Parts: sequence; C-alpha cells; structure tokens
Amino acid sequence: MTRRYVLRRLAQVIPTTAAILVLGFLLIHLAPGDPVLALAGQNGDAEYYAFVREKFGLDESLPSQLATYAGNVVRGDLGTSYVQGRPVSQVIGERLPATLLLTSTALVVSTAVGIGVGVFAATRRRRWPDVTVSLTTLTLYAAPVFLLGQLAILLLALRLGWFPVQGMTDADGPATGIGHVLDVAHHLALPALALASQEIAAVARLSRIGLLDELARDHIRTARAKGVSERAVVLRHALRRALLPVVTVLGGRVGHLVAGAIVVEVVFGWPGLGRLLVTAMQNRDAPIVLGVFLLVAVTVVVANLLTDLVYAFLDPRVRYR
Amino acid sequence: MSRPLLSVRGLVVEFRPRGGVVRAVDGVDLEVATGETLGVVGESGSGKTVTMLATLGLLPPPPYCTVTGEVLLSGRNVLAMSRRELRDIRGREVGMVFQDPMTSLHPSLRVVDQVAEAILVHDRRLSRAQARTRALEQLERVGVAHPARRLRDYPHQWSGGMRQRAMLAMAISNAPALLVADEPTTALDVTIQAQILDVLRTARDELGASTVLITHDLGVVAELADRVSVMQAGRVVEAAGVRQLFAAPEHRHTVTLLTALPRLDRPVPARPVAPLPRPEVLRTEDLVTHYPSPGRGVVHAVDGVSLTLAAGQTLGLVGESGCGKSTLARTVLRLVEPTSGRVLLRGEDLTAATGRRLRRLRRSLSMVFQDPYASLNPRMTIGEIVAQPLRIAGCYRSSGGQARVAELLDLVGLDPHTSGRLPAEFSGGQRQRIAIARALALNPGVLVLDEPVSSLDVSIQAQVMTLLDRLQRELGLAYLFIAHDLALVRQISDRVAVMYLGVIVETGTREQVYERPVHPYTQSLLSAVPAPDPARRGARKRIPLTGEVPDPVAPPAGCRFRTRCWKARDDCSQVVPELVVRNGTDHPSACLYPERLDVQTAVGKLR
Repeated sequence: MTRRYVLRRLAQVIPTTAAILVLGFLLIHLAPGDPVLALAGQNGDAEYYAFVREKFGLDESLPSQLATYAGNVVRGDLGTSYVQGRPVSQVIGERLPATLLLTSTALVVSTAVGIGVGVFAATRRRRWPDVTVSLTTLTLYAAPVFLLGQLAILLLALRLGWFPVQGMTDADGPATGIGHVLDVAHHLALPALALASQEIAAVARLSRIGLLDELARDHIRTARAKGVSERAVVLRHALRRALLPVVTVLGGRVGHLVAGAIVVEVVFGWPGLGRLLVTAMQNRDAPIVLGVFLLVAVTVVVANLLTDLVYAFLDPRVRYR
Repeated sequence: MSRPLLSVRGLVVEFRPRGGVVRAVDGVDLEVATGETLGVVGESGSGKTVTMLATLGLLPPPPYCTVTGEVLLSGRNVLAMSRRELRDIRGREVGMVFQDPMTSLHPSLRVVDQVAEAILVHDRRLSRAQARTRALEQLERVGVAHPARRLRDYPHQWSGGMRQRAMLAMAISNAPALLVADEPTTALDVTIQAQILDVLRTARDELGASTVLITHDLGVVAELADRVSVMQAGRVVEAAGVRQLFAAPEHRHTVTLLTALPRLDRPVPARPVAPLPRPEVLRTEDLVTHYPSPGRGVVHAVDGVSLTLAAGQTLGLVGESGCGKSTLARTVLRLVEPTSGRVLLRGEDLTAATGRRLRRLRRSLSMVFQDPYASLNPRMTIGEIVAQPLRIAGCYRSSGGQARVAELLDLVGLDPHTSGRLPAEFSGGQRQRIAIARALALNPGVLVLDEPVSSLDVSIQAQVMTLLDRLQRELGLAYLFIAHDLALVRQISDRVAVMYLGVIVETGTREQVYERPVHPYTQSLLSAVPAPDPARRGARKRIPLTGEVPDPVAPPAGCRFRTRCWKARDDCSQVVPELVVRNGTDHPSACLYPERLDVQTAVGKLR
C-alpha cells in the first residue's frame, strides 16, 4: 500500500464534501417557509421583517449567500444561530459529546454483539439456535427504533425500574469521578441498546451469511486438512473475510445510527444533537440545521473512507488494484 | 504382506440435501500399502474426491452427510475418531493437496505464514520465527526460488504453479506417512504440470510416503501410480496394477476411459479430405490486440498474428493459459477491437466493417465458448437460446421458425421435443451441444471454438468431438479450434499453430508440427504431456522447461521464448525471429536456430 492508495482515497473526500455542502444549503433554502416569519413572529411589520432579513444576510441572492456560507465554512465558521444568537459551532459543540457517546456506544455494541451472534448462529447452521437467532434478528430488524425505545421504557424503566426513564444524568447524582461515569452509563444503557438493536440484527445477519459462505470455501478445507482447530478455522481463517460485507456497510451504518439517534434522543430525552436538530427545524433555524447536516454528512464520508482502508487491510488484493 | 497403511472397507457416503438422499459413495474398498502409490481414477461425480474427504473426516457433519463403513489408518479407525484425534492426524500423518491452487490458499494471509501454520499447529513449542524458517525450507524444497524474498507475498501475487508448490510444501512439511493429492495438476498448464508432477514424485520418494493420487487424467496415473482403482457412480469398478490395467482393462468403463482419451502416442485417423477447391475463408493479417492493465502498463495479449483458414478445414491453435489464444479468438470476431492489423472473412475486411455490413459479415462467423454452464442464459429455454441468433438477424420466420430450431437441435443430436426446457436440465455435454446448435443457427462458414470440450469429462469430450467432426463433413465448416490439450488438437486439426506469449512460434500441417517439431517450445510442450502408457514410464526423455511464462505486460525483447529456452544465445535477445521456413526445416517457425530434435516426444507415428 499503499500510501498511494490512502492518498487517492483521501483526495476523493474533498469534492464529496463540497457537493454535500452545496446540496444541503440548497435543500434548506429552497424548502418552503420563511425563517424571518419564524424569527420575527407572524404579526411583525414590514420594516422589522426587512431589518431581520438584512441582519442575517437573507436579502442577498441565493448564490451569493451560498458563496458567503461556503467561504465561512472553509474558515471553520458555521454561522450564527437565528434563534439563540450564538455561534453554531458553539451550540453544536455543547451537544456533540452526548450524541457521540450514544452513537459510538451503539456502534461498538452492535458490531461486537452482532458479529458474536452471527458467528454463534453460523456455526450451528440450521439447528435450533440458528433458527432462533434468525427469527429474533428478523423481528428486531423489522421493529422501528421509536417502538423499541418506548417498549424498553415501559418495561425496563417504568415497570421494573432497572433503568432511568429520561436524561443523561440524575439531577442529584455525583458530578465528577467514578460515580458520575456510572450514573451516565446507567442512563446510557437503554437508549444505546434501543439504538443498537436494529444494527445488531443487521450485523448478525450479514456476518452469519458471510461466515457460512466463507466456511464453504476451498481454503477453509485446506486449513482443516492442515489440522487447524475448528475454533481457529472459524476465527482466524473464515471470519476475516466473512466480515468484508460487515465492513462494507460500516459507513452506511454510521449514517443510520445518527438518523436513529435523533429519534432515540427525543424518546429518551438525551441531550444531544438529535434533539437540537428537531428544535432547530421547528424554529426554522437554518444555520443550526445546516451545521448538523454538514457534521453528519462529513462523519459518514469519513466513516466510508475508514471502511475502504479497513477493507484494504482485510483483502490485500484491493491494495494492488 | 504387511498391514496396509490405509484401508477403506465398505465406505458409504450419503448427502442429505433438503428432501432427498444422494448416495455419493456406495460401498468403496481401497487399500494403500506403505510406500505405495494408488491412483484413483474416475469422471466427475464418480465419488473419488468424496471418498478421500470421508477418509479424513473432512465432510460436513451429520445430518447433512452420513459416513458409514470402516477407514483404518495405521490400524486406527478414522471414522470413530474424536475431533481432536482427527486434527492430530490431518496435516501430520496425512498431507493433502487439492485441485485448484487459485482457491485453496487463503487469499488474505501471506503464503509463507500459511505454510508456517501447517507446521505450527502440530508443534506448539516452535516460535513463529522458527516455524517461518522451516516453512522457507519446505518452500525451497518444492522448488520455489528465493522464498525468503517472498515473505510478504499474498497468494494472488503467485502464479498457479507456484501456489500449487506452496500447497505441496504445506502437505509435506510434517513428513506425513500418507500423501493425498486430489487432481493436483488439473488446473495447470502442461509444462507446469510436468514440473509439479516431478516435485510430487521427488517428495514422495524422499518421504517414502504412501500416496493416493486422485485424477481423471490417465496420463498422470500412468506416470506415477503403482496400482489403480477405477471409480464410477460411487463404486470401484476395477482395481489392478497399473501395467495390467492399461494393458488389459477388464471393466467396460475402464475400456471407455482408455479409448475415449485423446492420445499422442497412438495413431490418429487421417483427416477427411475436404473437396476442392478449398478457398480461404478466414485470414488474419498481423493482428495485434493490446489492452491496458491499470497500474501495470499495456498487456501485449496478441502481438502480430497472421493465420489463414481454408474452407472445410480445421486450424488448431495450441498454447498455454495466458498466451493470448482466447483474446485472439475474440478479436477475430471483433468482440474485442484489434489494436492494429486486419481480419479478412472471405476477402472482406471485417475490421473495417461497421453497422449493417458488420452484422452481415458476423453471420458467417460464430463462436462456441469454453464453459457451457456460463455461456447459456439460465432463464431462457434452449429453444429460445437456439432461436436467438435468428431473431437478432431478423430471419427467424423466414428461416422456418420452430421448424428451424427443431432441425438445429436434431443436427447436434438433441431431441427437438426438449426445446421447452431450461439449460439447468441438461448435462455439460448436452449444454455444449446446445451452444453448438446456437452457433450453427445462421449457417456460418466458420466456427471459432474456444476450448469447446475442456470442461467436459473424457467420454463426453469424445462424443462432442465426434459431433464436431460430423458437422464439419456434413456442412463443410471451417474450424478455428483453440485448446491447450495437444492430443485433442492433433485429433481434429489439418493445420496447427503454436502460440506463445502473443505470437505464433510454429505452424504447419498436423504431421509437420507433431512429428517434426522444430521450435524448442513445441518440442518441450510435446515432451511434457504425460503418456498414458506405464510400460514406457521413465523411458521417455523430457525437456523440462524451467520457470514460467513471462508477464505479457513486458514480454522479453527479441525472441519471446528465450527466457525459458535451453538453446538461447546472445542474438536471441536482439533479433525478433520471423515466422519463416529456415534451412533444414519444412515449415515455418519463429526460431533463429530451428532444428529437428530427436526428442522422445509422446507422439507415436501417424497413420
């Protein structure tokens, strides 16, 4: 590798990001509804509307607004929230850690558990554990996140009382130290699980199929003929390539998780970007919405980049193309 | 007699796909004495591979597959062994080599590490580095040059021959008492096959190991085996010493296998004489096809090929894989555009034709592909498949529609009433007949046959060859017959061209090329073919070719063959030898120093 491969892949990120920026900007500004009305209220006078319009640069033509915005973004300035009057980057920055914690936990959990379940099922093909796993994952996969979230709250939080219902911390919980970490973890468990559930199912199904496919291959027979133990055959020989499809969808899954996080955050009252985004959309706070949109999009792009690099590690042939 | 190393008694293997039982092995008895080599011969589906997999417990577990009977390895029953015990004998007491070196190595692990793993799993006390050192020794032993420089290589960077050497290195690394080789050279070219068989023989003799050699190739068996078991439909139908089996086969199936096999050491029937005049129907003039290979450069697939083909005759084109013969075939049909040069069809320039004229010219030229499983659309009935060329040419109705399809199916020996069936309902040989019927639909004068029978079993192969022969006589067809099997090409060709790395190195009549080859490449090819005659084992002198075919991205300057030629001199790297008749020879060759060589090739006298 393949430094060339990495550089080539990195270079592709720039035009993709630019396209996302333009598209996001246009989508928001071409959408019906006037932010000025949302800001200044339905009953303001024309003069006040004009003042607001000028203040936020909304009186300029769309291309020139875009040019200004793009220029600012390149310098790291995402603009100012219409509603809160604070820099967007600051607003997002406050909410980002919570969402990052939620989604990354869900990503790690769903990948680890999903692969584990997939391996468990594949190595017991067509016997009852496999069938059970298949049915369960299919059900999970079909269940919407908001439904699972509500059910989890009803059952595990309200009825059994094992988990808190809302928020990220207890109001009277410790603010620092190990106690704080445990408090957050306790709050995190349910939303992370609700968010991860579909992904667990998806990963489990993918890795099961991938592993079954791989276990039927000639080189697996070679490994067995060498006297390699079944455990090593599965974990060292088969799994490596069986995970290729799992890795392929990794980038897309990050997108899924962020989208799912918006719902989960609302359901569980998690103070992250999702709730910020919903509020901002209701208020027509375009800079916030666009900022979150950009952040999410760039995350997905970067995740896809990492996917390709991991892919090259798992399948050396990719590097030499 | 001492106790046999391996003894198989009444082995029955049944597969249970959903809703059925398939008995793949039906009561097989085998015995391999210490130091002995047993050849297990049979066509595809005869159960030979399954038998050996069952012997090592490598089949899927019940309920998918049940194995009964008795398999004794050094007196212990393999079928009753625990997983642990099985693991212990695999790779240590029994080494296995599988057929396809392209798929039998793990594509994402380094080759050296894979060999090292075979050593490491049976000797936990070794460190990784020690195992790697031993792996390098083993690789060197099987003839991999400078393995230490290839520490970081992955399988896809190795050629087929090298990968099969790596498989062998794995199999012998723990000095097994039994070596099982399942079609070890089937996927390889004949010169590479000769190398691998040599390595296999040496390894076997050094280890003093018993060997089970599973193959469909009687030539390979004749070269290596002491005794032979012939399998058919899950049973051993005949078992005998190798000399006796070849000299006096008893079972009908053995006789079929032996007679259906195209052989270089037996006379071939004379070619039918096509009626005069025999106008030239196809000609290529200095045809060149280069295509880009991203990141590597330009592949010189076909590099200046001039051929002629007369009506009613067969031009055989032989060469090893990667020599450009398939690209040449595709270029002739303009499925690939030539880089330069011309293809003339009855004097008309096919390469310059476009639109309507190109379509009209193409009707008199059609192609049969190698793999009948891939070249027929699985969703179309065979009637539709055969009718397709007619429909595309817009003459389905005028040519007779259904009646024409029935006629075509009948012509290739298929029941016209089966035209409503899908390809999946037909066997490989029948599918190839369908492909031939499709190729004949528009009454072409020329058929390009790209390895038309190489994916078929010998007995089926013989049937399809007979069909091709009959069609040629009845319809006056001209064939461009492309194959890697020298004996097969000899059987059907009037003229032969030998291709190496994009160029024709020798051409002439069948007799000239096979009886009096003058190019060193042709000579070594002919000497490398294993003769299905155990009586002459060892009597034949081979011309072993070292190394492998160079990269067509950067073919050697001057003579392309010089890097593997035992006669190469200084000027061979400077002068590109023309394909001309030189002193002392009676047909064209592209060698500066052509000479008749008194090689004991496998070829017997014609006539």
